[in-house]
Parts: sequence; C-alpha cells; structure tokens
Amino acid sequence: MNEDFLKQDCQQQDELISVLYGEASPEDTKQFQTHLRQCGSCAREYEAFSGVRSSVHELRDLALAGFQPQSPVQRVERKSARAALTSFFNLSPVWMKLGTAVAIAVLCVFGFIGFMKSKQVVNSPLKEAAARMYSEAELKDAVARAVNEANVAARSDHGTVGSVQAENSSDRISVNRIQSQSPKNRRPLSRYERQQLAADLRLVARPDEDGLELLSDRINQ
Amino acid sequence: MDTLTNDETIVERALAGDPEAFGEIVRRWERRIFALSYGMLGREDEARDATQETFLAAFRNLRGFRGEAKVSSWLHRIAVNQCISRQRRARVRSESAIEDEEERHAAQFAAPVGYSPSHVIESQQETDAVRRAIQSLPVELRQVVIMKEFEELTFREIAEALDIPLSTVKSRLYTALKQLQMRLNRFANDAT
Repeated sequence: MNEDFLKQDCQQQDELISVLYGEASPEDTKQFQTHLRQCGSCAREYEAFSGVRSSVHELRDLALAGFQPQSPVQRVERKSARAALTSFFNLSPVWMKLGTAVAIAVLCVFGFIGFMKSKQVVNSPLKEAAARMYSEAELKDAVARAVNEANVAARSDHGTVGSVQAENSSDRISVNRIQSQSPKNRRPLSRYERQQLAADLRLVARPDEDGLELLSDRINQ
Repeated sequence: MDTLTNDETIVERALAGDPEAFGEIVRRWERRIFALSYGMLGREDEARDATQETFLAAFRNLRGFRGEAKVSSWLHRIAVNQCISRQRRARVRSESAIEDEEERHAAQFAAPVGYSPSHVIESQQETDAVRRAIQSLPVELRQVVIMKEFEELTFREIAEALDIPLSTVKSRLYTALKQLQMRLNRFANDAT
C-alpha cells in the first residue's frame, strides 16, 4: 500500500488523528489547535475528515437501528406462580372464567362443610369427658353417687331376678350377694371394681382412650 | 478497565462449566461484533450470520483462550477472520449476483417517518455511497476504520486486537479517512 502519496507537506497526521478522535492529551490538543489556525492544509483536512466521520456515523446508526439481539442463550424470565395463573386467567375465554369461578365457589362450600364437621367431631361428649378434669372431691362424689344408683337398681330387681336365677352362674351369685347386702353391712368395693365402675360410667377415660391413664390412686384415697 | 475484569471472570466461569456465562459474553459483545461485521461486509444479513459464526467459533475455541489478550480483542480477531473468510467465499460467486444483492440490500433501509421522498432517496444514496466507499477500502484499512467508527474502540484496543503497533493504527486510520474522502467526493461528482 502506497501511503506516501497521501501525505502533505505538514507531517502532523498522528496529531491530527489523535485530536480528531479525542485521544490526544490536553497539551497536544491545544498545540494542534494552534497549528490548525496557522496551517490551511491541516485545517481543510481536519474539516474534511470530520465530514467523512459524520457520514460513516449515519451509516452506522442506520445499520444498528435494525439490530436485533440474537443471543444463543436466550433470557428466560421466570414468572411467579401467581403471575402465570393471572396471565392464564386473562387469556382464557369467558366460559372458562365462569367455570373456574363456580368451581372455586363449590370448593369453598365443601371446605366450609368439612371444617364444620371436623369441629363437631372434636366436640363429642366422649372427648369432652376425657378432656374434663375432675377434682378429688368431685370424683369421690361421682363414684359414690354411681354406687348408690347401682344399689338402688339392684334392690328393685332383687325380689324377682335374684330368686329365680339363684342357681345360675357364680358371678351372678356374687352380684346378688353384693346387691342383697344392706349399705351398712356391704363390703366396700375393691380397687379393681371401683376402677371398672368409674370407667363404665365414663367418669374417667379408659386406658385405651386417648392415652389417658386412670386416676386410680385418687379413686382409692 | 472494569469490563475487562468482568469479561475475564465470565470466561473463567464459562470454562468452569457455567452454562449461562458464555451467554453473558454474547449479550455484552454481540452489538459491537455485529457493527464490526456490518462495516466489514456491508450487508445486514451477512453481518448477522458472521456475528453468529463469530460467537460459535469463540465458544468452540473457548479452551484455547489463554487470557493473554482481552476478551474483546480475541472476539474482534475472530470476527475479522470470519468476515474475511466470508468475503473470500463471496468472491467465488458471480459479480452480478453480488451486485443484485447489494441493490436489494440498499432498498432494505427503512425510510425515517416524516421525511419527504426526495430526502429519503438522497439520504439512501448517501448512506449507500458511504457503504460502497467503505467496502472498497483494502481490508487492513477497513478493519481499522470500522473498529474505530462503528465500535468506538480506542487506538490501543485496536492495536491489541489486530496485534499491530499503535502508530500503525493511526497511520492506517489517516489513510482510510483520506481514501474515504476521495471516494465520497467522486461519488458526489458522479451524482451531479
């Protein structure tokens, strides 16, 4: 390439290019600007090159205006579940929106019914009895009351049932014997009988109910 | 330079197997590489293809990047080689076909809204003249002027990318501008 034919008498091409592209130091820029005022050849060249640059920039801007990034790795914006649902709902037809609304309403009703039923189960008498706490005096009263009621019932049945079935099984005999005794002469209930009776009367929870233990010590006090 | 540090870090991440890292390099440099390719080739579709090929070649040769030069310089060198290869392949095609493509391409420029038809034609003629003038420059001059005017690289960055002395960059740029000035004047005279 023959570049010599382009060179002017003034050998300041380097400075001209550096100043033209703004890469000269402030001192060099100042010096060259002073030179431009004195050298018509350099001044014309500087102006001509500035014009060429403007034309090239127009082409560049035009070319880059239509530039569309085509990254091999596409940016994938992840939507949140809520945003995705919203956009899906917005795009869906009216009948689908109505259907979704009805389905949600039915679901809510069933949910409410299920919740109420579960509350009823929780409030069952057995649970209440198991959950209830008896004081020692209350427990004694309750046991005594239950024993009295049992005795009264036994006395009313004694005349008929006791004589007719006197020859029956040994447990029946023992029951009759207990029932026939007057309150004063009656043998006190054994610890096991008290526990059994209390459990039968639901005054305390059975050992297999909700893991509650019998308050045996309190009963025997 | 912050970009340099980041680029190197990103390339390290890509080499370590981060699948997103190279995409980041592409996003960062594709506009500039497209500008370089467009300036070198003069056609948008060709420039787009060359840009994609540049990044594909860079990805394939990622392990060959030794970190001695900047990532930008490395990419520019690949892009320039891609453009030169494309031009060589284009020369194999008939001149008439190339001319047809150029004419078709010239018509692709969208007319800015609000301009009169005569102004649009004048503007299109001018940009087409500049494009032809750039295309007619020798490759070594074209590279420098495109890197400077389209990509706005510094003299030092161009010198690193092309592996030439700083003074050569300046002298090539001076010569390129001088030749462009002469060619544009000739186009202007032909038009009148």
